[in-house]
Amino acid sequence: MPAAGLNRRFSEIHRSSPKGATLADIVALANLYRVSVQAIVLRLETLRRLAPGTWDRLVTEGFEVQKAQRLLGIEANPPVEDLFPQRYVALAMTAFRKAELSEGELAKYLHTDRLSARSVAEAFQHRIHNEREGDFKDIEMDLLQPLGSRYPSTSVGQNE
Amino acid sequence: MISQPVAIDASTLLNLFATGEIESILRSMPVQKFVCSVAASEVLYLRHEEADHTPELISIDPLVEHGLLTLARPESPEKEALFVQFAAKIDDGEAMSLALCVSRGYALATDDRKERRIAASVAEPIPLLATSELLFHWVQSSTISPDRIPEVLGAVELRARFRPWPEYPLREWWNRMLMI
Repeated sequence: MPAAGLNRRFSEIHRSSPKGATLADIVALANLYRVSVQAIVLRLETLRRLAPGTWDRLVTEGFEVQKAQRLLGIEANPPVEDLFPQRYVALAMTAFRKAELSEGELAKYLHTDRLSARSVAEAFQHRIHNEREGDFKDIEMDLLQPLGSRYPSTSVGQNE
Repeated sequence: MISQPVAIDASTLLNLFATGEIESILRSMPVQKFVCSVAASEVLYLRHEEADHTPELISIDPLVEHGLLTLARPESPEKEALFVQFAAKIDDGEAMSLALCVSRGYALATDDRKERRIAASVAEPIPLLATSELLFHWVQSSTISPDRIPEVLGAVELRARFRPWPEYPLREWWNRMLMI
């Protein structure tokens, strides 16, 4: 999480509330950056926007991330694949595999970070594997390649 | 293999963090190491070894403080123009790394295929390095226990979700070491 952007957002939250940022604000911020609540709290501790030991205190007090997210109506980081049509993700993956998209561009297309983009790419790779003598091996494939047909292609109405 | 200053891009930096040995690896490189500000901001966290654990935040700040990495940004109109030129073809962090290498004559450490293709296509092709080559150099130049090598490579695959692609440099070595 870039320090400048996070600092700015945290300052905005701070200014908008006389009592400062609440736990709910932090949970929402984590959702915005698509990272865990722990990650955002620790980052804010590092940036000295939260007191050192805030996360440890929350854990000691029995803070439950998923419960808080449910209360706020936030789904915990929904998978990238759920945010876009499968066709869109498949197109992006194909372009990435062909080196027409870089990793940074793939992450932007999927509205996520590099590591999550890698995870999506890996998941796509694992969906296509080849079984040989009981041994499963990944194979490189063009996800959008035409699979062809046993029959010659026909134009509309040709075989009517 | 590593004879000139190196700009390390986000894809490789993420992998190096995942090794758990980034300080030792950077120290083994006998040249100055740079990272662009935009690329640095893209390296955020690593997966935990246990799937149900929260990700681990990472930061280059301690590495910069210890002088193992130097932050770089385009500081002249010419370099900015170069950056804009690359940014039309590729993501900002990658474009900045490419511009830095072209303008200062650095090598580029990246594991991204498109970035490598662009780096090889400029008038004076940019010397390229990959995570595998940096790790190979680290293994050769340090006293690393043979047991540690597969652990490090496995950590890159698990925590950074990186797997060598078909024409990846030293891919055979990578896969062989993983089998030890």
